[in-house]
Amino acid sequence: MRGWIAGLIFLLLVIAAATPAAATRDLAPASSAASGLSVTNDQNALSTRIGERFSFTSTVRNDSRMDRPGVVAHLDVVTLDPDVYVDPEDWSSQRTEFLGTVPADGLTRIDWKVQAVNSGDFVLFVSLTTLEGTDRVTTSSALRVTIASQQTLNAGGILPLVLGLPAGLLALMLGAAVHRRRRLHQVR
Amino acid sequence: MTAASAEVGTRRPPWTVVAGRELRDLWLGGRGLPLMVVYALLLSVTSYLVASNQALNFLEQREAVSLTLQVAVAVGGLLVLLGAADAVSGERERATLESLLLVPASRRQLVLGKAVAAMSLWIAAFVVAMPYLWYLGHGVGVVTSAVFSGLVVGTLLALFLAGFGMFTSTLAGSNRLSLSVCLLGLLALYAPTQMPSGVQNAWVGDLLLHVDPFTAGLHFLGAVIVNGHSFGAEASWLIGPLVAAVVAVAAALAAAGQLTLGSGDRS
Repeated sequence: MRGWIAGLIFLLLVIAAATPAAATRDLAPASSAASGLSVTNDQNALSTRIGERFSFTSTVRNDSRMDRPGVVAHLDVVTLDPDVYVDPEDWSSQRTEFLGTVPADGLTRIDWKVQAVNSGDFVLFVSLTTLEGTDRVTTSSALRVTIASQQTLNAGGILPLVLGLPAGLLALMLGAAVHRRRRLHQVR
Repeated sequence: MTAASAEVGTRRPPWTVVAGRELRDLWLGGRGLPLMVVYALLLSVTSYLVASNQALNFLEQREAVSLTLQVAVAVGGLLVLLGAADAVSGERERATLESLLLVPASRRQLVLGKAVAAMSLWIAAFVVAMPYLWYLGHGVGVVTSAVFSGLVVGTLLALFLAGFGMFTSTLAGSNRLSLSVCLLGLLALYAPTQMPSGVQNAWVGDLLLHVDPFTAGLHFLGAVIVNGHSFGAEASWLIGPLVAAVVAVAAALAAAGQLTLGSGDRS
């Protein structure tokens, strides 16, 4: 019996030693536990209309006992509608913030200014990483944004304009030509 | 134009009499209205393509307003240039310059009157463009800024092109030469917009973009309409068009003092 147990322990040790370290890292949650960094948003849902600007604040905390230099925060936008294409650059021109050092047991706040350029349901989140020293990326919870559409353009509505204006000018031109011809005729 | 000599000598400044005759020639008997018809057709096609694209997002719709305004300003400027480039060299080629020079008005007044007529093409072009700008921009709240910024930038560029065209037309021996030089100059002014972004970001590229009245003016329009920046924040982009307009008008008036029947004849 003792031999079986010793064999089992030996087998477990061999398996543990053979498992790549990277795999262990990948499975570990990208939370604040390892790096001490975490990020939270002051809102988790909001509704607005297309074209409106809104803002929210992210708080970056360093819960470790060591300063965290070179912290970088990045805002991203994900669409929940497969038919909507999102270019995050359109939503916010300043999406990456180089925060520098976040002191031990300290925090830094970031104000994000965003413009709603598509309608539908979206998720915004903030990711954290550091310039050196770790390959972990910490993300905030989702900020769910619902954007109401607004009919701003109507192809049918523009038809009177795109046809009427050139036609009006053409009529004016023809009228001027007829007037000129009549005057020439009267002079002769 | 010879009828103008009868009107000059009244209390009105001579350039207003010349401008009045030129405006009548341009809009009642000339090519003013046909040019506006073509211009309106161009804006109609552009606007319809934009308005029928349902996939445009909010920002792209602002970009569409900016695009339409930039087309309106650029083509409006081209019309002014065509009008100015033909003003003196055209009279010279049609052998009507002699009778014009007999009008009891200084040569600068003659050129000024013709420049006013050329500028009227821009004013008319802008009036034609306004309904399109209103339609495309009212949903995204950029009509006021589009109209105001378009008027400022377009007028500065039109003044510059009127001066450049009048200067060239006064000195050119033939209409063909005048038009060729003006169109080549216009193409050269558009060229910096095609520079790779890396070059544009370098200090030399940035300087060129600021100095070139076209790139500076069009950049100003984009920044105000698409990015929603204030006029004050982007005012530095108007320095290039303003300086170019002042220099070109001054050069045209200086060349007008040397206006003679033959281009090479300075006696």
